[in-house]
Amino acid sequence: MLGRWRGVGHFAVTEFLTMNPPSIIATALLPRAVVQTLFFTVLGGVLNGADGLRFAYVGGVAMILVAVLCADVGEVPVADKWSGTFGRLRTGVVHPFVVFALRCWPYPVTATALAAVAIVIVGPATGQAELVPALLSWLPVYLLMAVTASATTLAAALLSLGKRADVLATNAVSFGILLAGGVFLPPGRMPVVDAVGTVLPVRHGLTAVRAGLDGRPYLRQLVAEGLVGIGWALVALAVTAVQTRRARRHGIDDFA
Amino acid sequence: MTGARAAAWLWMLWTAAVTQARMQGLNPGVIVLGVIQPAVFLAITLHTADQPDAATTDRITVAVVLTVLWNTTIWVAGGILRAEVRGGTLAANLTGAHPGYLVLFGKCLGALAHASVVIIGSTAATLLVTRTPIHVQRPGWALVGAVVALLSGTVLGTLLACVFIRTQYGTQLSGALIYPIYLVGGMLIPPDVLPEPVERLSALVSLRWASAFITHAVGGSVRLGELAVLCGLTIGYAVAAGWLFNRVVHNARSEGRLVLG
Repeated sequence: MLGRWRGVGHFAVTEFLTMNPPSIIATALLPRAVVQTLFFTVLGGVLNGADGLRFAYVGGVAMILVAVLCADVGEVPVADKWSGTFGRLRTGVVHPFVVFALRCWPYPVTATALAAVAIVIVGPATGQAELVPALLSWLPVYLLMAVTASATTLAAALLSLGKRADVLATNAVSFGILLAGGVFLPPGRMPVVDAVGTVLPVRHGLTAVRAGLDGRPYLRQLVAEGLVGIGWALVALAVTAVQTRRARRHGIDDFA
Repeated sequence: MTGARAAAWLWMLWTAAVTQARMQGLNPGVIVLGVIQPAVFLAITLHTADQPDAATTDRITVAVVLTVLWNTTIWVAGGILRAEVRGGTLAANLTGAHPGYLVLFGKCLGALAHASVVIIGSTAATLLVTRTPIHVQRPGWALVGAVVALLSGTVLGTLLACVFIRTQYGTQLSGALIYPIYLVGGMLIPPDVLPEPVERLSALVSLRWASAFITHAVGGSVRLGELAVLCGLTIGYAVAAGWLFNRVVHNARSEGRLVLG
């Protein structure tokens, strides 16, 4: 079985490079990651001074992950729907959820690498060079956030695919994280938004990073981030399992 | 140009605009770009700002609307061409009796006019829900600025659409064009906080002047110089877009590289 999983993993790389060849990563994804972070960081400074600048720098790096994942992870099951290949996945040896999950792996890794470059460039450009080494040491937590955000995006895409509302659902996740993920808006400004943020990815991870940078305890927030990701992965698994069973019973071949 | 031909072109522009606006409806893309996006941007900027006064609130609101208009422009222009490729109508548009550029311009205009109504509706609803008062002192001039900004966005959209004609990676490339304009376009980030060379660059972005003119009109002062620069830049973009569109299409056809699906 592991060999089959590895095969899916290799296919994921092929699929990823077809959608995003190195030239496109270098000329489109990377500049976007850097300029997007620069925009949020400078805007944070404009609206809320030095505190806003630092808050938005740490949060803006996480928003890169969300931008990359929202665009691409949601496309993984969508590609099967439009290509009419879900029926093949359903009858395969490897469970469709495992195929979806394994095909997502290049995206969080690439997004985290882009985040690392943005940290190195945007820090000095906004007068926060002293924060760069400390923030780089938190890259594993950014990777964790990328994985939890991937799980959420996948769940949103699978939940909405039957109604052809995947664009709406995956973007709702992205804008939900921008609003309630503690990316730009500091906690405590809008209580309703804070409440929504507790079940979204990124928020707990960013709280952990900021606590760690300030020398405060962060372990509980890290665990919460992981649990949020596991929760959304279970939603994605449940949707895939239910859909697979429905497709078998009713003889339908995609997420109808 | 004869009068008959001008009338035919105007009719075609109108038809393309109305058709595209009807096709848009309230599809998921419009809900994301026109409803969710302005609401989220307004919420995060107005609530992050440190006790904004009335003038700052006006400036942020105008800037958010124009920022969202820019993002919508990019996706709408690309979306129209992607739909043409999917539907197999791109070749017919580019080789028809009327210039393909006019068809695309009309479609962009219809889509953006429709999206603008949705954006302004969402903005007004968000301001109401968050009880943020906005007093438009010179509504007529603010509307003039908004209409010219819409035309400017449409011209920019057709300029950017050239990317989609040449490459299948238009989505990624146009995605990379969003934030540079957010950053240097003088909307949410005032030009005076940018380094001097970048500030000079921002003077070439029409949305900067649209933002300044509309914000001043909302605050009660009409600065016609800003409107003149906005109009001048828009005309410049239109000339550049027409030239580039014809050149890109000609090259793509002669080299057999036109993306037709």
